[in-house]
Amino acid sequence: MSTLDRPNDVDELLGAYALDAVDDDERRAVENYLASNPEARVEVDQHREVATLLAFSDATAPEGLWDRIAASITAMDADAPEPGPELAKVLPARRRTPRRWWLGALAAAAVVAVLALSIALVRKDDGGTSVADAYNSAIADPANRVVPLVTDGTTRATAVVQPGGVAFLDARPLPALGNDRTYQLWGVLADGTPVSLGVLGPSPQLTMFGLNGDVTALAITDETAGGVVAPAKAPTIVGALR
Amino acid sequence: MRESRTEASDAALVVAIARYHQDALAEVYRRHAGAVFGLARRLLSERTLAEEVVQEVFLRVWNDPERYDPSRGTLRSYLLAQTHGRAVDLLRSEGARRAREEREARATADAGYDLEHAVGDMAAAAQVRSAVEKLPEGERACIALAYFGGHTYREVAARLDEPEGTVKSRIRSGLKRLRQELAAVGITMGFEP
Repeated sequence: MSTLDRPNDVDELLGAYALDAVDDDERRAVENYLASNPEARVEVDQHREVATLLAFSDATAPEGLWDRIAASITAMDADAPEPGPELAKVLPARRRTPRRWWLGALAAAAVVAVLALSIALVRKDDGGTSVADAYNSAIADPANRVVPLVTDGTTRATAVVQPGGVAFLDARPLPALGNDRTYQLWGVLADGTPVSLGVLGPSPQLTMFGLNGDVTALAITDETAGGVVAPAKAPTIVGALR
Repeated sequence: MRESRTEASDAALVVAIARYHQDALAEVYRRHAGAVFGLARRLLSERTLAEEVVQEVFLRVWNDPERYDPSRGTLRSYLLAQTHGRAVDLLRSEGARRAREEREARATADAGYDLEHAVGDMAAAAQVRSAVEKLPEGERACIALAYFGGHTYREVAARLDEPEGTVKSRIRSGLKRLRQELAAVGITMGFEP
């Protein structure tokens, strides 16, 4: 008979699971449970953070180990492209497809699955310091497209799209929302389908994002904090890309 | 650029790693490799195995930086969780298990799992030790055997001659209690939901 018949049975295992102290069957059961239970996932994350403190040591990594790691990387990435410009504190769709990483980083911005569009978006507060400089350079470059996002004839945000798809959004003129709300950026496809490009928070700042698809317009909506899969409201502001 | 890496946040370094910046990985290594190696070494009796684990963990960060989700905790916690999982896998393999049992046989019963002394030296070590000391002995022993011994809770139950249900409950309640104690003395987890 299974010992994991009830959710409470699985809950009791969360501490042991966090310490890798369960067998394979139990591990799978817990992982299935975590997939649909965010509160349990938070508990596991908290247990692991506690374990991190217990695990702290003043050990020093062996000499030469980094050299071995670097050599492995060199061998693996012999055909990798050169790094992009430093200004890009953004995770572009190059060798890696943006997945949960940026979703998590942006507090679960939603993505429509049918993507001719591949994007990633990181906010300035990710330790980056060059977004403002990059934005100022981009908006001054005539090769880039400047897209005003307007409402009632007033520009409330400005997007700058570079030919390669890297784009910037200055949404600072938007009025701040309460903490239970967020602005959300959307790309509108040719058939009118909105695709989430990420949540901007209640007080948007300068943001970088990538566009790589058939997007004809940008729109910003006011949504519940955390963002939504499909826009619940008409756009607050819009701007045509073509 | 090197100077800016040393000032960058862990999350920013991971973004840079995703863009093939090897110096960002080097900085992550500089910050965390000691802790990663320390944990691997504590679990694995063979130094070469511990080094292999360190190598695997950092190569995994290089190959799959997206797996680190900053909304779920610190990078160090992520790295150590990866380290622990991989080390336990090795520990539970037959050869390593034999080595561990031989090592344990030489040690005084459970002396190697003294949780208070397992906590390393760091600025907050005193507070962490203090929080550990406040744990009921049963919880402390279960956590130590599971985490630093690499045992499943069933194995812990057998070693302590306690019911399995009691052991898994003690691990969970002990971790919660530790978190509360640490928060009470101002030790933050680097992660609040």
